[in-house]
Amino acid sequence: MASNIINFGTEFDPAALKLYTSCNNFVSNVRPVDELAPHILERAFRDMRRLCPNAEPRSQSSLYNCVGMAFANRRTQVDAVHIPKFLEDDRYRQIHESEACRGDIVVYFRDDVPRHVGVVWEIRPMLHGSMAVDHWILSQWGEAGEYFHRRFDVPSVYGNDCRYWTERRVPTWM
Amino acid sequence: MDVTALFRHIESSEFASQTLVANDADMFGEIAAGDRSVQYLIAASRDSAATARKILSRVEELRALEDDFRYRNARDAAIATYLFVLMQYNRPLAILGAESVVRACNVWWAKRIAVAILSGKSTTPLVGDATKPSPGLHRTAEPHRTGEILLAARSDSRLIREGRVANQVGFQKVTSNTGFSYSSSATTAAKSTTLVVNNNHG
Repeated sequence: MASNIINFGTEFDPAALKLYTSCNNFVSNVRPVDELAPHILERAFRDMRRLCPNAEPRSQSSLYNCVGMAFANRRTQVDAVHIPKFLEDDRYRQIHESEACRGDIVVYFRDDVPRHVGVVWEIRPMLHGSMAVDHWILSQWGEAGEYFHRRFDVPSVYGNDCRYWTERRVPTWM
Repeated sequence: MDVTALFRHIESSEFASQTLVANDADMFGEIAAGDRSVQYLIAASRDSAATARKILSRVEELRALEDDFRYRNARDAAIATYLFVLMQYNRPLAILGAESVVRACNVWWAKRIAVAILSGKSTTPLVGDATKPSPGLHRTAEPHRTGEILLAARSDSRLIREGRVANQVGFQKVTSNTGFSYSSSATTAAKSTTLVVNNNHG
């Protein structure tokens, strides 16, 4: 029995992706073998559209989650608790939301615990001629699919404390 | 409430869809625990050993279900939820269920919950506070930004006072001259979380 659970998701789990940060630290991950049945994905799609009518679906696969989308090229599922490891090892730095630009990372916290991550996709003015902007994010909602969505158009379980990070570097020749 | 009706709801695609937004096993447990049917089932399994055994049998039935081999078991979320339910008050039965599920090859959440049970990790709190909004499919609200949220109670206050949940999720009891609190270093988040507990029960 023990052989079934020892090393689950670790560096020594043959089913886990060899996923390392820039500092060569392994990140625990687990990969589902099978996709969800189409009728469940369809139901999830309808529920998500009802929940957040403005969200635009991009793709639907249950083989990766939000962290897998943002940090592992959509290849595996990584628990949200590992987000700080990526941010630190891959030399992200926290920025104010007003500094965010396309490609930056937004992390959703609840009770100070990271719960969800997405990529800033677009920054749209809220009204024509207005300085206020609305961030559109691309993120994978658990196994329910990838959506382009407004910052707070996410399931409540992810929390509403959004913090931004960037890995942008200023080139030395500039 | 009729256990069969609870089974029917938990095995529905509506319930599966609700749990799909989970990003990890803890979140899965949290979403499941917010569902009324799951709360009823936990209460029923606490009050009746026969119900708990029925849940274990249902785990076995669903695991063995011949499904479309191309996809994950369509009752994956239900199996995971039943294990989660058993884990609350019937740990020996939960271990039996987990041992059979962990070998199955077409389940995912069920396997993750089973691994958590067999490795002795807690996956989320006991079901509890009915006053908290159900974490299921609700859109998040924009933050008020009036202050910091300090209380991260992950279960009902009675259990926290008794110290059981505090122990289960790795909180440390910190005694001071004003009473006591529980502090946690269980997460890698920058700040630690403090559970302030009524010191009348200290």
